[in-house]
Amino acid sequence: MDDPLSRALREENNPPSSSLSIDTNDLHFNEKISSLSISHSHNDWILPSTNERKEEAEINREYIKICVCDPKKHKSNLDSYVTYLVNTQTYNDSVKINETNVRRRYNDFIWLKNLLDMKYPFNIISPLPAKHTLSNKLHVVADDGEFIRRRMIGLQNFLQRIIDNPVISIDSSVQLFLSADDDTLHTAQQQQTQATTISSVSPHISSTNSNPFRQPMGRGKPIPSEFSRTENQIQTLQDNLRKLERLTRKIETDQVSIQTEEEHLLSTFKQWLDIERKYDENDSFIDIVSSTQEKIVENQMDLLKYTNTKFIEPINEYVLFTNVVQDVLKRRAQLSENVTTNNSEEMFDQLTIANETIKADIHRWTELKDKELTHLFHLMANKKIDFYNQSIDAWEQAAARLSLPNNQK
Amino acid sequence: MTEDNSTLFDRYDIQISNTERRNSSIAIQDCYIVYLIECRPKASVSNNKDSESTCVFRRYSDFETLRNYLVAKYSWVIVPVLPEKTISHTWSKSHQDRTSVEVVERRRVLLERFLHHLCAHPTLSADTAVQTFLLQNDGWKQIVDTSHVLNKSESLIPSFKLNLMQHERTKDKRFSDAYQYAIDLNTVLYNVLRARAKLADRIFIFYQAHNQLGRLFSEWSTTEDKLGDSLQRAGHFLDSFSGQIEEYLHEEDALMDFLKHQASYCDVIKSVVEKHEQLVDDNSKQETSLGTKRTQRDAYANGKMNFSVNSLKLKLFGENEETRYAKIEGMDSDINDAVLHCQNADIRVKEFNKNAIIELDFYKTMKEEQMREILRSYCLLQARIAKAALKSWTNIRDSFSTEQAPL
Repeated sequence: MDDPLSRALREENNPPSSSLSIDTNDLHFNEKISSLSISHSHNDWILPSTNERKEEAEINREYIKICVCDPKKHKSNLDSYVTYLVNTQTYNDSVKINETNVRRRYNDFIWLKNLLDMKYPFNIISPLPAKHTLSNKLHVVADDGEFIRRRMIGLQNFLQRIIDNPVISIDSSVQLFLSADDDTLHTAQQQQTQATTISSVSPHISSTNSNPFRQPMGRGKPIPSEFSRTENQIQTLQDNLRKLERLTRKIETDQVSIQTEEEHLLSTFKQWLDIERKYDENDSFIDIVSSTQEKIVENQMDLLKYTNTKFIEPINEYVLFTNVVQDVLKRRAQLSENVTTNNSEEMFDQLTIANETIKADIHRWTELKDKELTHLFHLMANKKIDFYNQSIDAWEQAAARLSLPNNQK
Repeated sequence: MTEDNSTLFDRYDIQISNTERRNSSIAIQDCYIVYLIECRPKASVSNNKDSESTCVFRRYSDFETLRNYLVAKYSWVIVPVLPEKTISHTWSKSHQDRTSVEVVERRRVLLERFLHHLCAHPTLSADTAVQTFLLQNDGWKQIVDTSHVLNKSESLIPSFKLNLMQHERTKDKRFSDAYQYAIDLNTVLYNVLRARAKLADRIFIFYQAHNQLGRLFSEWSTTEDKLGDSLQRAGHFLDSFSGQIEEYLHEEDALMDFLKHQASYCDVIKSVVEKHEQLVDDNSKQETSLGTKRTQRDAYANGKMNFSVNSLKLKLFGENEETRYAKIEGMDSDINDAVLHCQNADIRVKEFNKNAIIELDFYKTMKEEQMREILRSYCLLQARIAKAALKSWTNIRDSFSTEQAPL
């Protein structure tokens, strides 16, 4: 008799597949953090620093690891705010040679970012985590803990990316930020506010004579094709990222609907259980299924939360990051226009430097993007794998218990 | 036919081995399905007579007629149930066409199960209509028609049901409990079926959305350099993921057939209990009538004054000793008849109860076993769905390997 029932029962011969072993070494970059960093959870989406592996590192290459952690609430006079511990570790060939700790608040980060934006208009500087986030009703609990946790990750990414940029990491303000005590920092901040003019272009460049990239004074026409291709690429990437975010949100909504129906099914199982119990019937079989369903519902809840916080939000952040790149390219285009109109040698030199800076940064940025997105997708897929493994285990266990004779559970 | 106590199930291997499409008229739409019932005598049983296997064709309505006959004739038996006549409680993409291959196959399975249960039942399998239905081409319909049970019971039950609305249930707890249980279980099972159907719909939508995701990845891969390879592979696996679910949902649908099957038994139990109540009611009516007759007779014999019109008439027009005596004799014989009726009714109730309780107990065991099987298959199916998903996502994850792993 080959009906679905018999067929299903025959299939049962295969033993449950063992959960795939995940090589965690591959996944969790920067796992070796010193004892000062507290929670492990925010390591989940730490971007890989460029020289994190021994095999990849060139001999005697230095690298710096930044950790933002340990949020603490402060109340001073009329102000209440949160500070974060910024822990900087310098390694030489995986041997720690230096370490500094400072406490900074979000406004400090804003100060640093604004400063760098003005000083390095043609470098790609990571965006800061947003001031407010839109919370998804169902899954992101809009309480302080979750918000602060995500902010911390954003701040850490911000700093790590800055440090990984060889041009910017040596900037005095960056060093100040990472190591100075509070008073020194405050003084510097006040000085900067007074001194800096709010102009969007024209950083100070040393005299034209020392310009290493100088080309003979010609027409001064910038290189359009290369950059317009880059602009297109970035735009396409941004479009794709937006599409991805939209689709993933839609799929998440579908998942939420499934969740609702699964819960509904669970409640009908429970009703059934009640009926069997009410009439003193044997309820073990429906009990088993009911509790399995409950587990599935829980796991699914968990998966949903993960999808939202560890996939959709980072994708969203990357869209913002592409905006930064676009802004940099726009500035360059603006400068290039100015050059053609003004035809000043100084500006031409500026443009040349800007072009080279951007090219290098874009290259770096693209590599980083490839790595980060791969990592992101990898983790998301892994989470799904975990979920399905759990489901398989739960259902197969239930089936096994249901094959036992009546009296045993 | 045979004198031993073995059931048809013991003696034959019964299978619905094939189905055919027949036309009831020239129009193409007027087609119906017939099922080929094959009975092969088991080797272990005596092999001189009936040693050849038999084949008959029957359609769904034939099964229905046979079953209605059995329900009417053996009212204490929990007669096995048929697959549903119209398809219900399925997910939106399920097969709806009654004559489609998948639906016919699902029906065939349940009809075969019906026959097995029927033939395993000692009382039912001994019925000549059943035996003729299975083993001979013609003849079973006549047996059913001439038995007249169908006409009788059909008129009786509806009116009785109305009475039950106002009655309280039988005092016999075994039956009243069974009745309530049947109602509650039926409700709950249909809740489960409905919830499952809605869930299946949602799951289908969810899987389909991954198709779009796969397409996005494939398109995106063309504009990417290093990432393109991974994106393309992942897109391919997302596609295959999204296509997985349909066959499993159909399988789940077919599995739900068995749950519906179980739910149908609830109605059968209800009718058995109702029949029991009818007999009990009958019995008490007989007893009341007997009591009334006795009282009347005694009252008359003692010459008590009763102010009925008839007695006044008699008094006025007179009656003599003879007619009075004859009357009392008449009433006495009436009473004797009533006593017999009462005894018969009593025996009927007792017989019915005894057999019905056996049936109910048997049902309980069977139900539990069946539910266990159904739920076990459900769990295994869910595990298989998860396994298929696991495979896809493992492939997707490996497309985004953080080392450049070879394919």
